[in-house]
Amino acid sequence: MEKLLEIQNVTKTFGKFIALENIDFNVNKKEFVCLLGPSGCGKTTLLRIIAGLEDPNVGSKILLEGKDITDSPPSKRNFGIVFQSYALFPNLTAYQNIAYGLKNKKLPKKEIDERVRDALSLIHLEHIKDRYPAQLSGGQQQRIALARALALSPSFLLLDEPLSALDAKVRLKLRMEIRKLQETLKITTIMVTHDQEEALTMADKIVIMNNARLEQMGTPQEIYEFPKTPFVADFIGTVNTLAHEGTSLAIRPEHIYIVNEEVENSVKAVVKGMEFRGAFYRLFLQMLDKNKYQVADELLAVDVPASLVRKMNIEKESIVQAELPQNHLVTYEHV
Amino acid sequence: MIEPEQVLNQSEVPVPSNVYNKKIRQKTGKVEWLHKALIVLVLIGLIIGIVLPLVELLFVALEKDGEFVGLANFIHYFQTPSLVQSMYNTLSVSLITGVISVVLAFFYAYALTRTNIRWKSFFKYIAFLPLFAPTMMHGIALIYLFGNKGVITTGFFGFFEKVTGLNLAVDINLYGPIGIIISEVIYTFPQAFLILMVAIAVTDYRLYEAADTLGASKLKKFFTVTVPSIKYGLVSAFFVAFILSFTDFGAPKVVGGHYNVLATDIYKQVVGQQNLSMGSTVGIILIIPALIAFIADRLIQRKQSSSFSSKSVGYQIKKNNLRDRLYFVYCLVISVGVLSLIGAVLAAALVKVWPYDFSLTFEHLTFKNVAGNGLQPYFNSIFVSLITAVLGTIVIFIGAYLIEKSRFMKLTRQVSYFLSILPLALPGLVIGLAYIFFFNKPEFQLPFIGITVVNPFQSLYGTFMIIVIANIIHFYSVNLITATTALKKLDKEFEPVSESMNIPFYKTFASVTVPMSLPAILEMGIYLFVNSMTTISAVIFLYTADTKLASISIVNMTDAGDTAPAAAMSIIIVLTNIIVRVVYELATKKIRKRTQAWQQR
Ligand SMILES: Nc1ncnc2c1ncn2[C@@H]1O[C@H](COP(=O)(O)OP(=O)(O)OP(=O)(O)O)[C@@H](O)[C@H]1O
Ligand SMILES: [Mg+2]
Repeated sequence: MEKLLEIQNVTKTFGKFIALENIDFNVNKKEFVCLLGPSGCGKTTLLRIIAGLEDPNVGSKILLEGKDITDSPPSKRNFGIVFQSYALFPNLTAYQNIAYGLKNKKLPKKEIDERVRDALSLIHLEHIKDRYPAQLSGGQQQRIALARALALSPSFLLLDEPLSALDAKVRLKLRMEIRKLQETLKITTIMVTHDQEEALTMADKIVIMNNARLEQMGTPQEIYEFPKTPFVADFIGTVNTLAHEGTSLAIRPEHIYIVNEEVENSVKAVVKGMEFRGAFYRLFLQMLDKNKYQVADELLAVDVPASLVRKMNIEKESIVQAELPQNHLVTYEHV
Repeated sequence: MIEPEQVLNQSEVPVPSNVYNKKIRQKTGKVEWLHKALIVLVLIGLIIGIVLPLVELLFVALEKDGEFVGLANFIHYFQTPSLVQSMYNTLSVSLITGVISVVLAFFYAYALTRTNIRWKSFFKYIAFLPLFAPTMMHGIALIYLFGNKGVITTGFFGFFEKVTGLNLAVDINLYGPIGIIISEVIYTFPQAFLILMVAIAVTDYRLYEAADTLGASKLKKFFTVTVPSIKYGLVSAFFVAFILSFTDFGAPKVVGGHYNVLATDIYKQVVGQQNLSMGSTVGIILIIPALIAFIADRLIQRKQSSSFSSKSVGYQIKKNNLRDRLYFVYCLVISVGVLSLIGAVLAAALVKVWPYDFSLTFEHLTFKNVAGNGLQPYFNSIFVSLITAVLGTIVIFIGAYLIEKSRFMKLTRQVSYFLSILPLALPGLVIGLAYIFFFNKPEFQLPFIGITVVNPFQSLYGTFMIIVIANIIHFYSVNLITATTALKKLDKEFEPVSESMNIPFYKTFASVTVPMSLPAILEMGIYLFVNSMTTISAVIFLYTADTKLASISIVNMTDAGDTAPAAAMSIIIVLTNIIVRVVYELATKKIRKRTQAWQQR
């Protein structure tokens, strides 16, 4: 796969405060990359450095198609950007907002009109082209901002929490729409988010950050199945942390099976709590054999299909066998 | 497909050193050069307009007859009893003014925000009326009411005694501290009122509800909720009133009599005795309390900003007829006071010979045979005010934009911001005095290298332009704050978005920033116009026979005893300002409505 952006050794300090520390990753062409991490971990700062709106420390490097752009101003980097606030120009109509960048390129009027109309039809908002931003819903504003960023056919797209200002329903819909648009246009995209579900559903590749550092990078499946650090395991989904013969292990609740008889890697446990979650129950087990595994939070969370719970007649204080399959047990290197 | 994992080992992280903290410098294109050049230009402008003149003033204060004498002038000052006396006078007058003004303004603001009285908008307009007049006018009005031949002093010219048989004449000993204090209270009332009204309006009603559920009495609520929640506003209003009266020149000049204050001392030292060094010394002493109040006020405002959250609830006025009646009477009394001042000046301007011949005449409005050069100063004032309004608005708004919205040269912008706010602490007299020294100097001796350069600004001396520049600097801070407040309301990502589309900053400035800030920009223009019409302190040192302004001619005329034409000139200024304001309100109604529609989300 061809690399479009190479982020090499990017570091950023604000006075004594370290906002980013030796960040390294690549973005391939046509790829949708999510920067995911808790608030304040440096995602926005990284995005702004990629955009050229913030100067990184000496030693950092950013390459665009192999060319060093670390010291290029934003205007020379050829990207489109959508901010959390959308930053639509309030005194211009939706149409004028999209045409804004094109007008500056001294394109013929007809071509500008064509391209604005194309952009509007791409986001299905031809009918509101003459409205001012204040007359649009949040979701519509968001799409106009997207169209404005795309109208200049940039070589990559930067999105900073583009969905976080919207309510849950609209967010779900736009999630799919943005991803579909990205696939149609085949435009390389980097999106910042702190919503793990958003990252898991939209991204080709997730870059997980914590405390100014890159924690792990990989496809959503890799990150979910094989979290490299306890932070990642805990940040994405639910996880049980165990200690076993001096090593640290993690396993997700849905990867633990309730079996009828003792098998390899199974433990005997008593059901201490049950939560009904619709399609499944979450059981909280207390291990009877305390020597094999030590559970960090005392109780082991296990997700069991509702049908199985009924079939096996599991209730509080039942004694069960829980299997912790070897292939789902993740071992951490440095803890 | 999958990149090799690049999780960093903690032990590999280098220790940040100074070299490591260095930032990569971006290449600068043409547009970025222009942007940076403008930022530098703003700083240079502020240095020339504020720093260099002040330095020059300081130098003059440190020398005598051209010789450097260190602090000798200051020592001499504090050893001269009459001079120390005026400092004491100034302090006491300003303190009393501050207290009275804040108390009066507080209840007035309270009435307009927390009661159900009628005529609220009428009372509001009346409260702002004194802003349209030069401070000399308050003095002149008082002379006609309380002076030796004043309406009140003579008991309505003996009329009351004739009718009632009682001698109702009251002599308040106008000339001196009493006259100054009354004038300064009138002068500072609108400013204190404005600050307190905002402070009271943002008090969180939930606090009152909480106090109600605890069964607090009215008095208790007043001292435990109302006062604490507006205490910053009270302090701020006091500081503003204090500084304004501490540095005012117009009122003490007209009704001060033999009661000396610092502002009139400076004038006497410089214009009367030609003792420039002592004048500058007093000027610097005049800055000190203003500077202290300014810093204190800044610190307080920083604290205050967090006290009103978006969850706060506006005050809900309860029904109370007795309260409303009391406050209505209170507001009415103050309004009648303000209106009778204007009425007295209007009468003085229109009657033949006060108090002997009360027949109407327009004779005083011609300004013939008086110390005032006819109507020319009035036209000069209009000219200067228009230029100040246009030029000042452009310069200050662009300056504020660059400071607020740029991502370049942070340190330079911070210095510029500090310098932009500094004039708030600079009395007009000090600006005027500093300008004489700076712009009148034929050449500068550059320190340390011993090179002499010709002063390129000397040609401005004695022109209208120097008056315009002094006005712009004098009113810089207030307008910068107006501009900055408006700019802060605009999304801070407009500029990055434009940059990402390769659109030069000046295009977005012209097509988005300016249209969105139009109400604030127009407000700045009107503020500059009105204040340039009324100001006296900065320009009193800078005018020549050809550039005399209306406010200066008022001082000249009162000095010469031509009080009636001085009253006439005051009235013309007030009327001009009111007309300009009304026309402005009508003309910009549409613009404000449209901008408001854009701004709602
Ligand atoms: N201009 C600045 N000066 C000083 N510190 C800054 C500046 N900008 C960001 N920071 C700090 O850098 C850290 C990272 O900020 P950043 O905005 O990148 O976080 P984020 O990951 O985007 O968080 P969020 O999810 O809340 O948006 C924060 O602790 C922030 O306070
Ligand atoms: Mg962020």
